[in-house]
Amino acid sequence: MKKLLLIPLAFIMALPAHAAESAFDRIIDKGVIRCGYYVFPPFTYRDPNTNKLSGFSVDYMEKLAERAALKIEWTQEITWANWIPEIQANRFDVACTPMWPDMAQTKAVTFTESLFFAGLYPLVRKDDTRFAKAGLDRLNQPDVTILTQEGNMTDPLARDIFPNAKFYTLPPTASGGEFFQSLLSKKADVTMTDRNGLATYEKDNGKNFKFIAEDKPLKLQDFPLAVKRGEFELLGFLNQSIRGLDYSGDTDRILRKWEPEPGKTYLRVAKPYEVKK
Amino acid sequence: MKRFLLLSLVALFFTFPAFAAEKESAYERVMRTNILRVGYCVWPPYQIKDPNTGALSGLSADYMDVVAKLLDVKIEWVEMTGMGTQVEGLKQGMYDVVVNDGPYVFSMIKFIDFSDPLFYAPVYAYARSDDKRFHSLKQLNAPDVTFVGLDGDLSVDLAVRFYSKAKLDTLPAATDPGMLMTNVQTKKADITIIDPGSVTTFNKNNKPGLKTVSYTPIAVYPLGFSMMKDDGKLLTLINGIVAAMHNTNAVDPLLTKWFPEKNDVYRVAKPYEVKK
Repeated sequence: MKKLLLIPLAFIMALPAHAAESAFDRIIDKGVIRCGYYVFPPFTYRDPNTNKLSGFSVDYMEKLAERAALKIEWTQEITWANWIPEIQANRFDVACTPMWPDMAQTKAVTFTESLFFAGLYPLVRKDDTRFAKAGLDRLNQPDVTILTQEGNMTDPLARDIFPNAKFYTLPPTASGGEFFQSLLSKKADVTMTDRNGLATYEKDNGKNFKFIAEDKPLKLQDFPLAVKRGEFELLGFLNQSIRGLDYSGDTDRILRKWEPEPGKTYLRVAKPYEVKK
Repeated sequence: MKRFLLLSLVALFFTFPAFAAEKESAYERVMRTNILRVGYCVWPPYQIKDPNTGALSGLSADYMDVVAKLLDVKIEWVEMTGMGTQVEGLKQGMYDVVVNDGPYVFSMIKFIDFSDPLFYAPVYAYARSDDKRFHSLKQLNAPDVTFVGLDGDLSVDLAVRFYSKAKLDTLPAATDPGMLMTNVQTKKADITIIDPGSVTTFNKNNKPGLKTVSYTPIAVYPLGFSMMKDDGKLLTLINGIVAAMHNTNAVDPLLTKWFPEKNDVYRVAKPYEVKK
């Protein structure tokens, strides 16, 4: 008789329930998306007194969840260094702050479609007149020093595009302030940033710089969410949601609320349809 | 001991997935039967049903003829019991795909997948043509304005989301969608949210008909096929057909035939650039 007790064990061992539950199954089961997030304006702000989160990411994900009859749990603050191992360890389901994807990262995680884009443009001192009409080729000269930061994706990009220029490279620990100060103090002539980077600086420091060649971004930066590699159902759900929020105008409305220059800081996703004039 | 081993083996035998009575996927069924069962709601000019013969015409009937030829399958039409019933219908295997479906009600994307779109449909707020009260969408979010919507349809979803201060009359999912426009025309409601293609068809036979409150669409929906979420092979197959239809210019003439008014539907933008 005792041996019969072992039979249910055989059943349990063979049941498919032992297959790993997908993140999407877990979300549907619990009705909750567990978000990883990083604090970076204007995507996420954290009130230092109350720890309350706000920003584009918070409004966007809450809207997505509301429309899908789900809830958001802001589970874990992440950093550039730890977010991949943490999502692989199932500590959260979605990187809910728009990421700057790197091709090498796609070996470990899968990125959604982009929520919006930003152009990276050359930035020079406001009073530097050498580059105004000369075009980008003028930057690729030995008398031009380009400011980059070690470990930042702009460094290899600038070296690829401007191989003849000189480089002044800051260490990875340099702050945003040091970055702009190096340009102001003429240690370098040019750097690369997006409109949000410049607007954030100008908020406290005034207008000391200008972009050149704004019609031709040196790089188009996409801003997707991310899931653990292989979570295809969750990826499909998020992509449908991203499109849905774009088509309903929600993405634009939320961006306008948070971007420093409403309607200008970030480039919107092109409409996938043609409207006849 | 022998008895225990025997019982354990029997138990294991019945729990191995290969021996379980696994449900056949829609993709497997289509491949086995060579029949694609297509769910639809009567909604002119997308799907028109002859009341006497039951014969289907409209945009969907035309493009499903193309699909049948491209896939070399027979199309079997299954009328749905109403908008918003596709999740249950697909789940129960009543049909393999639903035509002209899109994420009208956002929460459905938890359960069903949508193919790449064949086209896009803008939706606007419509009032009676002789109703002079409304000049902007902002005016619609007021307690003295009554919307009419269809359960399980965007007409309810969008009214609730954007015009929460207005009143909303809902019609059961199985109601003829033409009643949305009829209720506005007959002053049972002031506004309905619907696509211009449906209104153009309605206005042909109904005077004074409806007019849009604003020329800005409230939303734009991609229209393609929906299917169960866990049937990746069927999604790939249908997306392949959608791409083939776009690449061979099969969609555009059908849209022109059924939607002659400019911008009643939007074409899918080309994914490539042609230098002029």
